[in-house]
Amino acid sequence: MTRKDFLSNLAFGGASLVLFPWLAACSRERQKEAAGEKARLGIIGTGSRGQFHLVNLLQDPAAQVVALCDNYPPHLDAASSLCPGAKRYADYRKLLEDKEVDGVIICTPLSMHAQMTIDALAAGKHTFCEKAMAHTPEQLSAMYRAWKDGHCVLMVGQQRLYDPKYVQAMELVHNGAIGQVVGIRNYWYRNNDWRREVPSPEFERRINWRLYDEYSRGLMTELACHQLQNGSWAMGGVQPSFVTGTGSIQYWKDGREVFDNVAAIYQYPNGVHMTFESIISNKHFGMGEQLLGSDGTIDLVRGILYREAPRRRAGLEQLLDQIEQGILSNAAFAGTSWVTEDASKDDGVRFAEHVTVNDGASSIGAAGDGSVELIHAFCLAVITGSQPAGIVEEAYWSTLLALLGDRATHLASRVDIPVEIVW
Amino acid sequence: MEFIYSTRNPAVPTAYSRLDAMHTKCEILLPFLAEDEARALVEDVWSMVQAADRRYNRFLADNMLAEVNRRAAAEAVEVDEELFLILQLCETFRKATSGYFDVTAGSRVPDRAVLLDAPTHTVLFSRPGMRLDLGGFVKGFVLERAVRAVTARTACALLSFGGSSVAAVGRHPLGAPWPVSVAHGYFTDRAAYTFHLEDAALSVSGKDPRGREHIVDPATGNMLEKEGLVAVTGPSAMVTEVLSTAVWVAPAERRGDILAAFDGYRASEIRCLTDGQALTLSI
Repeated sequence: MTRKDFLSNLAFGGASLVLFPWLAACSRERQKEAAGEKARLGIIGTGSRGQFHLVNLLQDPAAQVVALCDNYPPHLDAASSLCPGAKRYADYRKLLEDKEVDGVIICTPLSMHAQMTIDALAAGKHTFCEKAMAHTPEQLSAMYRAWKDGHCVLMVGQQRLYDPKYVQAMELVHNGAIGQVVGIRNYWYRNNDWRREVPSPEFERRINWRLYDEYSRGLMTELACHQLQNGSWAMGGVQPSFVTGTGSIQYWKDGREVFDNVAAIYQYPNGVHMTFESIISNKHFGMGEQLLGSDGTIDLVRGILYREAPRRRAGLEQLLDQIEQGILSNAAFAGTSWVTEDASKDDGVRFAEHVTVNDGASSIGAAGDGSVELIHAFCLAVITGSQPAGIVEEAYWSTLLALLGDRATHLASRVDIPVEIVW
Repeated sequence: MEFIYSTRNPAVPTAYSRLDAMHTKCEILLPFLAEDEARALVEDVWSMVQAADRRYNRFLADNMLAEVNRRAAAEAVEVDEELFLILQLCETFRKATSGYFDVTAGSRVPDRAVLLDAPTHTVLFSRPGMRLDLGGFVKGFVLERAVRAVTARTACALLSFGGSSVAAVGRHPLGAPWPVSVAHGYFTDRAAYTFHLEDAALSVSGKDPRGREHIVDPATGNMLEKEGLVAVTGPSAMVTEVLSTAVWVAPAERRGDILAAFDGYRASEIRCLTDGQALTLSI
């Protein structure tokens, strides 16, 4: 299935809709319901991620950006130049009073997410908040509560939720393609200081908010938050029991407060471990997400399934094997004559078409990572007023795992994870 | 015969069968048919293949082809309708390919000709020492007949005779044209080039870098020492079989002309490199 067809076809079996219930919110029926209508949106926070969404929204027929808000004038000016017709606000509360705004997209520093989201929901605005959801577990619970008590749509910017590669991979896992899940490995390596250029020193904390505890929980909320979803999906929605970890500032000793390298291990009730490691002073291995099973391995980043014991099927049997697993891939069997197959190592089979391999270098967004589909889904939700099922819970758990992982890396000890959402 | 009926993907129940015949591995993949329908179709197709294998195998001493090879230099030999048709087709293709496809290529006899008399269905060789080898034609001929039999009963199938002759009926069950890759000569698990087939055939001729020469030069009767593969795609498995041989045998400057005489057929030359890369040039 191509990315283009993804939202309109949703030709997945039961497993995907159980694991990814929010996909149903983009069904043909919903698209039809929203046809010809536009979601009138305001963007709060027009820095790099806000502008990334703005550019996508300007090309989305279901969106009309009517308001922009930022208290940092260069960012507001940059966004206004892309969308000159939109009203400008320096205070998000004023934007929330704007009756022409049906929904808001919050792309501000992490520490602001909770209050802005709670205020937006209270103002009756459908709300899309960038990930991670919140800066603390307490804020997270407050956001969840505000949403539960209200009637507006809430979505969170976890783009993997709408990335077909992940949906297809998890279908494979739950159809038994890799046997029993025995481990989940995530890593994200970069070699840069994670800094943005600052026009003068008084803007340092405002621009480079990711580096300071007051605004951010560093690598855990900015990077791990995405990858920790893999565990929940692979384990069928079960959450880990506890996390332990460690972290430090070992290379970028430039006054930052958040760690420049972390390692966290989550343990599930059945004993399976999920790891997350990030180092931002070496990029050799880039970004990796691997589901390890008793019968195979899925490389989520590259969209490849490897078998532990390749059946060494040859000729058309390779295609039979792929059809059995719902995979459309090529098989190298044509040639001048049949050659008996060797007992070679499994080179893997690509299970997703048009895979964009993200090297993890960008903090803003990467082509083909699900961001476009996610923001389009929000537009449909604003138009129809229908909350995509399960999406807030999904964001809640990925944020909570990131926050408790961060706590474990600071304590360098075990932190228990609640079994249910606390609100 | 091996027959597997898989329902592991309930949305696409698929039959797979394999038969060792015609000195190779013949395979068929039949998605969507019920098991008994698939089995019946496979049995019909394999019966056809086995019959052709017996009739046109030049290594058997008791078939009609052997009799022609024994007697046709001395006298006109009467053959049945199907063999006569095959010989007529081979003669037509020989002329259309300027002699680069020639079922008498291994004869090492100059100025040779196969004389066919339609009213009597007889064959006569123009020179002593001539012999027919239909191995480079019959695979495509039978594959095309098999495709016809399959198409009458399903709109989705893939057939492969040794990987050198492949035919796709309809599209892959998951929706796109059938992706069929030519295996890399040095790294057989890898694809040197991928064709996307929908109601089309693919034939590959040439020399595998690790294999032996096996195509005869019609001009000399000797094995042609040449590297590289030629892959031809088009609507008829019989024609792709003929063209892949003719285009591979022909010198580079004649290949375009040969191909131009056949509408709807495309050819590529594939060269596999030792580092795992492959070069593919459109002819």
